[in-house]
Amino acid sequence: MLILLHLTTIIVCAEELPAGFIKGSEERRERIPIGGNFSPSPIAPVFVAVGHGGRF
Amino acid sequence: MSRDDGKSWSQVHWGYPGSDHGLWATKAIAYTSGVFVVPIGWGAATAWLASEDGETWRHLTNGKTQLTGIKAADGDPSVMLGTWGIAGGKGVFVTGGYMMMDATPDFGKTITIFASHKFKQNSRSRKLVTHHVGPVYCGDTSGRFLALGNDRSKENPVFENLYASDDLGQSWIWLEPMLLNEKCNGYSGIVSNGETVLIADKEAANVFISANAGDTWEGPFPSGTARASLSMVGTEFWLLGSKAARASRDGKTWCDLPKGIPTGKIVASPDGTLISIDRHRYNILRSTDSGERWGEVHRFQPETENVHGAQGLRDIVFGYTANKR
Repeated sequence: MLILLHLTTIIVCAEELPAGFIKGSEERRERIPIGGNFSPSPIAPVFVAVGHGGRF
Repeated sequence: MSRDDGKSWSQVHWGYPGSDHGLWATKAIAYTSGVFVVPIGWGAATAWLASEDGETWRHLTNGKTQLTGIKAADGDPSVMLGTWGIAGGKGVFVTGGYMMMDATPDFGKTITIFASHKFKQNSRSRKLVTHHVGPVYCGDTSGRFLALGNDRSKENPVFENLYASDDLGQSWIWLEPMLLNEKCNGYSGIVSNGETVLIADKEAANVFISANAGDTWEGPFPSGTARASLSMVGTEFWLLGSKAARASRDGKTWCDLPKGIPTGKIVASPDGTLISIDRHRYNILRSTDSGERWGEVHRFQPETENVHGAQGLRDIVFGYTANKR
């Protein structure tokens, strides 16, 4: 299914990406666990910065 | 992430090489009530990753909410609506992207969708065709979320589109700010310090302010800089450009910031520590003297193969996690 979803990206980028690269990006997404189980207890101050690639 | 007032940093999550468009596009982060949320994916399937401890990241959704209007997402509960921007306030996360806005008031257990197509019933002359919609929380006084989006209609107005929600993202109205429509040439950013909402025009040479969460506006007020990025630093508005960095408490009068203030985005802790990131560099800078002196506190190696778009850090927030090491 993610292959279909990624088709949009391929069109937008108009560039050739190696098939293995695309498959890898999809498989990495599929390994993320489902949530909905958050128990926040905000006590410790932090900074969080983010960038492409899910770099947190 | 840094747990020691920005002195030291560690990479707490990595997905896969990402670009401006693709499954791992990562441009925004929001925080409210002890939870951080990061949308990933643009021009591709979007997911919202979340954490309450900053280290254990998983989908925000519990996978039980049936979202409609997402093409080719049948059967995958982790796929969210296309998300360009996200904001948090009063324990609610609100997102925007294309023609729909989402909101979750319970950290992913329930997710509501508002379709902007409803605005077509509006009496104004142009049809709503929008994208790159990003929300901002105006603060607890008003409790309002605003959202700004580009306009792709044939009648494309100079100042794009502005929306407002007074029920924490459940429903939206399409504002028609006449002053902005007439005098604001596009936009480059929108922020709120809880009392005043400020929009910087396309070149950030002028700003417009609202004291009632977007109902009426004042401006233009010259910022004294140009091609600058807008940050909310404590309760001050900062515009950071390569030629001039300026600050204002009210959006009307602006003053110079210290020479050497880095370009990009800056966030402040409540104690006044400043942290700077920039999409065009691969490090994090820190200042503890109001921006007079800066030191590099983290550096990383960017991806270079099979990616496009600036690989530096795109967004940053200050918040609180559950555990303290």
